[in-house]
Amino acid sequence: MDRHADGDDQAFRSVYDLLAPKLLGFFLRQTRDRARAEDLVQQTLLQMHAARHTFVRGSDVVPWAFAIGRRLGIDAHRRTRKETLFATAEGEADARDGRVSRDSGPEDFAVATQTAARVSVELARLPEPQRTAYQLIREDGLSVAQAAEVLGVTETAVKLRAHRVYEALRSVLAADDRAGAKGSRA
Amino acid sequence: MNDPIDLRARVLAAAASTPAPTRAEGRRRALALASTSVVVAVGLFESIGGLAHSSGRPLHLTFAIAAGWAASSALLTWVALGRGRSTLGRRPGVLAAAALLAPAAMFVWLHAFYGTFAEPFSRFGWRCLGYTIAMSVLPLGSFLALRRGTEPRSPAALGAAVGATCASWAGLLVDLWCPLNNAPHLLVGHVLPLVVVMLAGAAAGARVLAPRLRPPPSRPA
Repeated sequence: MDRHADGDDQAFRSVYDLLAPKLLGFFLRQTRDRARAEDLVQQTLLQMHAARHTFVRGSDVVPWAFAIGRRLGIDAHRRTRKETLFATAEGEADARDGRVSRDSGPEDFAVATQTAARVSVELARLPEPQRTAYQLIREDGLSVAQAAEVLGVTETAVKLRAHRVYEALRSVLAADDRAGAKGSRA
Repeated sequence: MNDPIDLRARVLAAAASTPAPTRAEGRRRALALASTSVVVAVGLFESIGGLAHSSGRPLHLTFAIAAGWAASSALLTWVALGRGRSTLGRRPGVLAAAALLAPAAMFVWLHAFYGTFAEPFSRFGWRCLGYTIAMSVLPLGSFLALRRGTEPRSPAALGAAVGATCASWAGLLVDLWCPLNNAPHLLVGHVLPLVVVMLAGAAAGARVLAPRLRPPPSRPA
């Protein structure tokens, strides 16, 4: 990004190759719509290109890209006025199928898919700052420091937000387990 | 599913056809606008009477007040505009706190000199209010134009902090011009404009500094 900010237009290819896959994953999780996710990736990278003169030499480009992406995602969400984040449990489950081992038996696979769907529904219910903190760390692979920079809060606040999400998910899954155990006894 | 290569080609083509200033160009523009802002503000200061207008106050007190306020303005500038090693700059909470503290700090500092000399006349403070706002408009507008669409986290907080910074430097010139330090005058003539420009910066920043979605990019059929 440094070379691009100094006027080397060819360096933008490297910026794209570094960031586009990460941003695409981030937007796919939010929109569940590949065309919209790609448009948001394009818009994010173009915003970075347009603002290249503001890039601080030697700074980390990833938090900057995710912060712009997050802002555009929120903007897009407000414009559509539709709750598209993890719109359906089915869609989320489809998206997470890749994480469930195909070697598992059909029963394991069904349970894992159901759990993923339940997690998605619970995630969608959580406040956006908490959900984003969790996703940036857990799913986008950012460090706590990078996530803190994206969100504009302290690292402690990011850890706290992520912890609240873990707790929320754990309590939901525990409740499901108890319900399942009761069902099997009955 | 769309081809990732297609997306890459689309993004690179769109970037190639979108003019974007480089760092050097950005620096040149910033320098030109900052210089123009200073020249306009000093020109206005001189046109309304300059330092001679505050001759009713001992010169050493005028300079002492100005020195303290300049140091405070420099600190505010460092907080608002300094970004350290991060393109994203300071946390929104820090920017908002700096913007909110500035008017209070200004009042405390200026009022500390009340009673150290006999004020030469009495004024309500409308002229100080007007001059401070007038001197702040150009630097604030310049900043908003230069950094348009580049603050993704909290554009309102950055706008407020920069608004307070611009009004703070303008307030320094106005204070060199104005020999009054009584509380009612300070509140109306020196603190209120800082609050007004800070709020204007927050409102304008929220609209101008945030990256916005552009019309949907063209997609191949």
